[in-house]
Amino acid sequence: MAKKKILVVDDEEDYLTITKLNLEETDNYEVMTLSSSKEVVLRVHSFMPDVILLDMLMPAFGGVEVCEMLNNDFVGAGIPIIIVSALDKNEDKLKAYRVGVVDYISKPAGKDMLIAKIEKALSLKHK
Amino acid sequence: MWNKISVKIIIIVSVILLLSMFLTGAHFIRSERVMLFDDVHAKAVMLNKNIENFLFTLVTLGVLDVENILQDAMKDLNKDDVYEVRIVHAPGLAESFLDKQFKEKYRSLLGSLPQNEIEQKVISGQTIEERIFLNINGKSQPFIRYGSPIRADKSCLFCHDVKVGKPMGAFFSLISLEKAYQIIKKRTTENILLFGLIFLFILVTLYFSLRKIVLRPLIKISDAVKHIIERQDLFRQVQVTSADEIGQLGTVFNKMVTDLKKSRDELQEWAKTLEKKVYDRTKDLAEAKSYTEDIIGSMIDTLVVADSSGKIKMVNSALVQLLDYSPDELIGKPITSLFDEATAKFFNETAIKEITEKLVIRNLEATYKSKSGDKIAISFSVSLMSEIHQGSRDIIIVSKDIREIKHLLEMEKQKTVELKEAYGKLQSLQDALIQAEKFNAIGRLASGVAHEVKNPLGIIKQSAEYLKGKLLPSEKNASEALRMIRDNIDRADNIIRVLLDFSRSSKLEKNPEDLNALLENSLMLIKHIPTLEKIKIIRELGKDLPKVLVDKGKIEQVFINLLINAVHAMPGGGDLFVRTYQLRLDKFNDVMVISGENNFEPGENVVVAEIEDTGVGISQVNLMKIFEPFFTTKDPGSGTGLGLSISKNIMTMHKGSLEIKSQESKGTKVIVTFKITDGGR
Repeated sequence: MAKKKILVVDDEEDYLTITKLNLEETDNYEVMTLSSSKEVVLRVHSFMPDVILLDMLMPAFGGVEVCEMLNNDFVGAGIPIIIVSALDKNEDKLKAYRVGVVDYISKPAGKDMLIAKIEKALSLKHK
Repeated sequence: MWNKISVKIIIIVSVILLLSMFLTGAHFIRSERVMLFDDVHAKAVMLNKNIENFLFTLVTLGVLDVENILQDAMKDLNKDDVYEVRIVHAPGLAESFLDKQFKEKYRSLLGSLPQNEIEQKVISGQTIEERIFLNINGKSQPFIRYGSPIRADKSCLFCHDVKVGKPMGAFFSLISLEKAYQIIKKRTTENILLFGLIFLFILVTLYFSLRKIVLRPLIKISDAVKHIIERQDLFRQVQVTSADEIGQLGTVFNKMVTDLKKSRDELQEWAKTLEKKVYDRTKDLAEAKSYTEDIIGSMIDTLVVADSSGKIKMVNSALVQLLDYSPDELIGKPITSLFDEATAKFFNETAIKEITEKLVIRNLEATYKSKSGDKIAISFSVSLMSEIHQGSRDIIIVSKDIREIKHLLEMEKQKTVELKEAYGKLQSLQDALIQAEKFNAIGRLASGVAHEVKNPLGIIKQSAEYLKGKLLPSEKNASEALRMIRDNIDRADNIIRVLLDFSRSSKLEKNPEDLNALLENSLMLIKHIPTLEKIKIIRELGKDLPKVLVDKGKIEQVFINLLINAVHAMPGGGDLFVRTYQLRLDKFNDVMVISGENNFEPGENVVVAEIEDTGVGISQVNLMKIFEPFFTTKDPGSGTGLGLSISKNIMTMHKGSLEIKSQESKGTKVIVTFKITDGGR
């Protein structure tokens, strides 16, 4: 079974690193990390991820804006996006759901939680 | 007439004169009479002597010319006067030897024996003289009878055997007093006439003298007095003609009149001045009276004057207008009839006493009763008049209609109450705001911090998980260390989550909820607490409670907090009471509930949830700080110190209240009160 491609977007380099390590350790995922939200659409086109893990608060573009950009992109529009954020207010969550994210994970989330949510998103994509 | 002084004087003088003349006349007549009687007596003595001599002569000469002798003897006698001469001889002696002629003439002269006791007395030697009345020719006439004894002489011894000096007989002569009486009568008449004339003369003289000397001047003075009195003419003077007492009287009188005139003039002058003064004074008084009346009439405040017995004497127009009476209806009535019952009672029992003691009462509030029965709030002052008038020390009552003031005061009071309430509300609102602001600040801080902390926490968590996968099963200590890292990340995350609740608690999703159900849910959620096994849960849940409009999640959070606290307070077990009931707040209910930083009102219906434990309790010092954020008595790591402050905040947001009553080592009772006025039933 081919590895699923996961794009993780966060402005924290350490977070990107450890998430990549944890996810790739399972051997199920090919992980690309991106610390700049400006490059998301570009990377989506080159990497063609199956799921995107997206932070909410980032320099340049926030999670919601990134979602909106992806929604307007013919590639990005079909990719399930999971928000992984330190923000866990209902309104933040609502904002995210409104722009079409499939799930919302509050930090700090463990490896298991991430994998479960990714799997769930992948299953949605295949339906 | 009898009042006239002249008549009085004349009467007195007449009486004196008459009396003295009568006495003088009587004395004259009496002297005359004695003189006349003495004459008669002398005549009788002479006659007897003559007869005696005759007899002796007769004896001596031997009865020769008896007739002549007797005539001689009788010469000196007024024969007309001698009515009878009689000789009486002692018995046993010779009879008389007078001739017949003699005998006829002097028929009883001779030869008779003593015929009565008087004659017997004379014969025995006594001389008698008596006055008798004899009826002669049918007419009673006065006589003197004189009897003298005839004593024996030596010559008698020749013919008679008698002793010398012894009475041999007696001689009695009866001499008429008719003549003497006539003389006396004549003299008396003459005297009376004379005295009458004298009397008249004296009277007339006296009268005219009096008239001239006394009466006329007196009459002049009297007339002058009369004239002065009748005509008020003080110019009249009496003419003084003499220097005697009456003249002096006239002078004095004239002076007196002059003085009187002067006095009268002065008096008249004074009277004029006085009249003017009286007029001026009356005018002033009238003006003062009118001024005073105007003042009283124009007074805005009411005035009542009552006498010392409390009867109304005077009222002013302000009172009449205020009470709608006419003055006549009030005058004479007891003053208490103006008041309502309470004031009247006060006035009778307290005020009168106070007035008598202090003389004045100031600004007492009372109530007047108008004619129509309306009650009028007044403020009155009572004083006693400083002086007694007509036997009464009057009471003055001045009162002011204070209805408007009272109304204003009432409004002011109400406003003050409202203001106080508003202030209270404002203060509680301010407290709530401060609290809210505090929570907001914490919330903002928390959400800011949360993001910054959560990110590293996420990295740490994933790192720990990664490392765990790399550890060999033999490396147990390292594995334990990784577990501790993970657990503490969760703990930190939990704290951050609670902190974040602050920033979220301002938004409520309220729905009508059943408190009992919420409590049951909350109890369900705490059942995993290990120590709960040792605790007996006693449910005293009210039936048919009205639903309350609350945010279910938040209220469950409150209940869970309280239940966990209760369970933690009873580590060794105990009773946990869970109660709900409906309550109507009144002033006897907990004042804190009503007056605290909430919107409860007395009389409001509320639903109460109580969670009570029999645990360790809370000290008074800790009770004060119990709602402060981050205050906890639990071991470090087992409590955030935010539970109660968040619960309190949630209840405040619900406009409810949360109170804690506790006694150390006895237990704690938490009373959570919910409004139902805006909640559905």
